[in-house]
Amino acid sequence: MQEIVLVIVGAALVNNVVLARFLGLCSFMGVTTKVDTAIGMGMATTFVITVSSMGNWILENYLLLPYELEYLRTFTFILVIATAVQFTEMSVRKISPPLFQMLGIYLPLITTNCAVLGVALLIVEGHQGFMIGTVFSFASSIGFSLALAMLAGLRERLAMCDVPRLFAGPPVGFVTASLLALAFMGFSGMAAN
Amino acid sequence: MQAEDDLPDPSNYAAVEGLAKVVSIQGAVAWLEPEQTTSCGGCASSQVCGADVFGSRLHARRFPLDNVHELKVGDRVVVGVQESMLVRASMTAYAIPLVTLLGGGTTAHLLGYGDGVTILATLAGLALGLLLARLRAKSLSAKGELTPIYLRHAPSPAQSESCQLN
Repeated sequence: MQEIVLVIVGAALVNNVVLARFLGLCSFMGVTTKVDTAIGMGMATTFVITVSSMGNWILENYLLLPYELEYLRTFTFILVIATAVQFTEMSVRKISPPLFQMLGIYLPLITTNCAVLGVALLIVEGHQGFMIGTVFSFASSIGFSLALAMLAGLRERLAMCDVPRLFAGPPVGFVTASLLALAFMGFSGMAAN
Repeated sequence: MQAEDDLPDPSNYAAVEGLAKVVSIQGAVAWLEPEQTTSCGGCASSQVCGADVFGSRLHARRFPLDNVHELKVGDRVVVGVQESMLVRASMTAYAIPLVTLLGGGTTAHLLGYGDGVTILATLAGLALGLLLARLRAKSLSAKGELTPIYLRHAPSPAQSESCQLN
């Protein structure tokens, strides 16, 4: 149990996928103008990262490694990610068509989010077991959602501030993101992973 | 179906807004198609980069709206859902399956089972979560909380400021 807690803290806060590893920066800057849309995108990404990492782990350990097909890893992982996005889209549509209308717009964008592939490759690099790998991917994506929601909250407040004209919009957003990354450096050394 | 009196006052409606175009009218119901809001898809490389693929999927996201505002085919309107509903919808669709997925897998892992059983427990948790999410979504839909509402007419692309030629 302690191992699981350490993995969660390490992946979500210490090695935050956006603010420490600098992955998924396009959606980090792109969908953080409103807190609610940021949470919607974050939840969708969390689901896709967790499901695709499970699929990637199974293929890596039951197909690529036994048959020495490691050179196909990136290609296979991208296919699994695209399939996971399609699976998510199908299940949301099946669960509720109105939900699909509200949330479906975010799903195709996740396919091209480098954080999804990055987390899967980090699991392979860390030689993690299935459950630890799944918890790691879930915690990483929770860290991603947390960073999105925090920056969105800050940008909502910034929108009401009197920012110098040359800094208004994305420039002050980038400055805020860098300050957020500096703040997250305070977690350094709290967990090994 | 909402009566006109039941519609919220758009000026007081904190909403996540989106543009949609009326594509057909069937009796008292207007069918709307969300507009592609990305900046991509307009250049000569759109056939290669994939933005056009996203655009072609919009027909799958058509939705009905009570035609109490006398909409016509081709009208562009701003529709919205309450901001809080977006978060509740995300929780329903994604958080419930994730919690059951992790619950199933972690239980099997802590009981000392191997990877094979843990994978099966995780998948069983995922299936259970999707079922629970479906039940929750049905209850939200029955209250009409997930349906986008009409907020206002949008200017046609020719009238919009961003497209004016100076």
